[in-house]
Amino acid sequence: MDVKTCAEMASMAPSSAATVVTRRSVLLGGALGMIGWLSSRSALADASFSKTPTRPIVHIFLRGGADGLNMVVPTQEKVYFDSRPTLAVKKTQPLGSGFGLNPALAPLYPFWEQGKLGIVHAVGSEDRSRSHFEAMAAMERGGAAGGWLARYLAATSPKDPSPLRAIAHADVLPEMLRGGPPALAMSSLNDFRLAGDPSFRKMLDGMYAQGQDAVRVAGRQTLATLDTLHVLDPAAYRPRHGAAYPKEGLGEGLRQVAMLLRANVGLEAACLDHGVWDTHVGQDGFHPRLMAELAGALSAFATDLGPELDGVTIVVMSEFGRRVGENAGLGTDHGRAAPAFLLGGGVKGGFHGAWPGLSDLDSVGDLRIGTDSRSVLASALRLEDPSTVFPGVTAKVEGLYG
Amino acid sequence: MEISRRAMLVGVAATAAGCAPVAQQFAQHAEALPAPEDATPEQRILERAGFGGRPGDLARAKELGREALCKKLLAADEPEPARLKLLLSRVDALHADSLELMDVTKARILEGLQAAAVLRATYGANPLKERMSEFWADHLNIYAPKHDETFYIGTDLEKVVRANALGSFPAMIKASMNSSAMIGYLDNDRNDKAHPNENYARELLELHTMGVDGGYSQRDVMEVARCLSGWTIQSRFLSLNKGKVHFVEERHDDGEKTVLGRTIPAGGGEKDAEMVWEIVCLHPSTARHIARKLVKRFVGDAPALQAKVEKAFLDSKGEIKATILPILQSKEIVEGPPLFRRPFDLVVAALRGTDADTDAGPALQAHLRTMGQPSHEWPMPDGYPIRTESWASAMLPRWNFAHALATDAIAGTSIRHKNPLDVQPHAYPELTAWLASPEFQWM
Repeated sequence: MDVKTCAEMASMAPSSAATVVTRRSVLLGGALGMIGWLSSRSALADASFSKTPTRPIVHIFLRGGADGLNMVVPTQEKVYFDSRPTLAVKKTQPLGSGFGLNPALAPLYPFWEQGKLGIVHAVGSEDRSRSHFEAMAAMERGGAAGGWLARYLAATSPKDPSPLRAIAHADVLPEMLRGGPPALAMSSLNDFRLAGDPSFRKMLDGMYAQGQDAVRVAGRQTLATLDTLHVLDPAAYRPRHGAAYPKEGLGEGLRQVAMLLRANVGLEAACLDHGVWDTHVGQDGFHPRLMAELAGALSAFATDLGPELDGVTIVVMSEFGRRVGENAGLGTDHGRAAPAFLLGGGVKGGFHGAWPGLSDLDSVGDLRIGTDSRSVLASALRLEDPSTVFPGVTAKVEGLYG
Repeated sequence: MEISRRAMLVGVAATAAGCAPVAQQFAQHAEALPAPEDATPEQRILERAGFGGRPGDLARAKELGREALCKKLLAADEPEPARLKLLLSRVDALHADSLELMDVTKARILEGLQAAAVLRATYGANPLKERMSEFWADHLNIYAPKHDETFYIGTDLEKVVRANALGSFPAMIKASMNSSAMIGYLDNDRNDKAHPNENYARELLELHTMGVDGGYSQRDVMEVARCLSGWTIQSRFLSLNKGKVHFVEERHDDGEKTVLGRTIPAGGGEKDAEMVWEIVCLHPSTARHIARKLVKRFVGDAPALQAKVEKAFLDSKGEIKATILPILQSKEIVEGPPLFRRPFDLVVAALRGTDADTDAGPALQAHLRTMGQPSHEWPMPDGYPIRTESWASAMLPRWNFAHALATDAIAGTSIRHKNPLDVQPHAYPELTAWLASPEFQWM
């Protein structure tokens, strides 16, 4: 963000961070901690989020096992149509390489055309249980204790970390953020306000001042975050470039992430959940709606970021894909591999990774894994050596990022 | 003046968080727990085997002594108080057949069930029964808003969960296999011989009985799905047994199956499901899975105790009272580190500790929702998470609840007792401070 866009932002949103923070930091005489973090960053003319020490990563987890074969459809594979007499998607937007995009994902197509959307089909973990929980845990841990994102954040901790360095747009902290630097679970920024008068705040400051247990650490982080968010006004945030976010769920989550990125509060990792994609029964009744929600929210977010999309890495994954053959309930059972969608962060558009094909399924009838999820993540994090975060992993996805 | 006071307040927090990098502190103490307080055995029992004490409960428990207290909790034969009966009488879902409920809006049914969960935990005369009901409702989790499950889940909670909460584990699983809510939630009503649907079969093995490391294979899951094929829910448009679980022979795969190495001969029909039940309910893996989960929920990490519980489960053939007895008698439950209170634990302990009058209506439920634990709304079949790490990162809604309760700002709820010291010795004497304190987040 250059000086001009910074001024532009201030004029568009009167209560935006750029103006208010400066005023507050003067009032507060440059207090320590979060306020200090915020004001010191804001004082820099080139305080663009795309220039923060690490490129922010936004991770969207499609919970429940997304049926990737109906999202990025293998239109040249006879097995696909034979196995899904009812559910096969016949009309798609051609993507080349023998695949077509489900029409419900159409809002993503312009980014594909512009070379800004990367797809790695057949991504999965080593977990063979076909259990949601095991598969999610395998993917979110990435082969070691704690979450992969927590390990990455621990390894790249700056000297004065922002309390908003890592957030989950959820009630419950996802596994990938556990066991590392403190991360905050917040279902919404809009109601992130403390009740009562200043005496209640003072009481909390006192009670949570000392101690290293999980509650006191989280308490201090929450207090610092309140100070940061106090100077922001989520309701006043105006998306740019005509971006229109879906009002609820993922759309609202991404709108808030965009606001935090623009407010330059040190956000490096945001985790959002979407779903539930567990389409065992009557898949056509709700799979298109899920895809439309996902594509609508992603497209608004990418549009809003505009040229700065290159500075934000967006990763979309699911714990597994679904069985190639449809079941009796016009749905699909748990499989192994699903596509990962990569937007922004300098991703090279197009298809990447190996496509195992549908003529050589595993013994259960599932698409085999073409690319280990950890290789995709290691690429997205731009790790020189993937094994620093994912023990034992050496390979990244060739050419995925420039 | 205002500014400098504010600046000072911020300074306090900032100094606390800012003297060393928070990440570094956290990395060193990620698993750190507060030092065990000097909780008496009776207090721990009240908090773990119930939802915490009401004013005066601790004094009474001490008088009774730990052994007698546990015996009383296990007996669970106290009559329910009139206040609870009166409040529950207004909940449609507890007094009408599933099919009659279809005339009531889903929102109203769910509101009633969520109120009932809080009311029973808060006012029930048998705390251990309420505690175990919560545990099993999580264990056999059903997402109430899914399809017709909203209408069926009330029956499930009565006939599966509450009826067996301190009874027999195999009986509970059998009841669950005959529960319309469970059959619908996990899609077994769509499981037929042409295309088996594995959803229920998998969770029956993975979550309800043997555990994911229980030693079964994907092939076993598929075979169990074949065994369970044909069990469906009678259409609500037919006159007989509508909405009930029943067996449709034509949809059942009647071929031979092999489950965990045991052959289930062809032609078994509806007996196949019973065979599966027999094979899995008292399997050693099930004993281990249930023991591990009980110990994790009520004590934390305690391998030696887990072994005792596992043995008690097998020796008693899955009698739940016998299985949890070693936990109540253990030294770990008293001496082990504190456990983090999930939002439901926190809300109920606060209501009990303040002897609150509550209708557990929408205003109170809104707090549980913001904290992330509205009852019966966890969408995945594994139930609300247990681990501290899942919950501790959302402190703000807890503080706001504490403040609202202490200042009587929750519609339909008012506190009647304001002295924390009658509930918990060494507590903060001021009510808001007690409820919002770091200490109150643990039990």
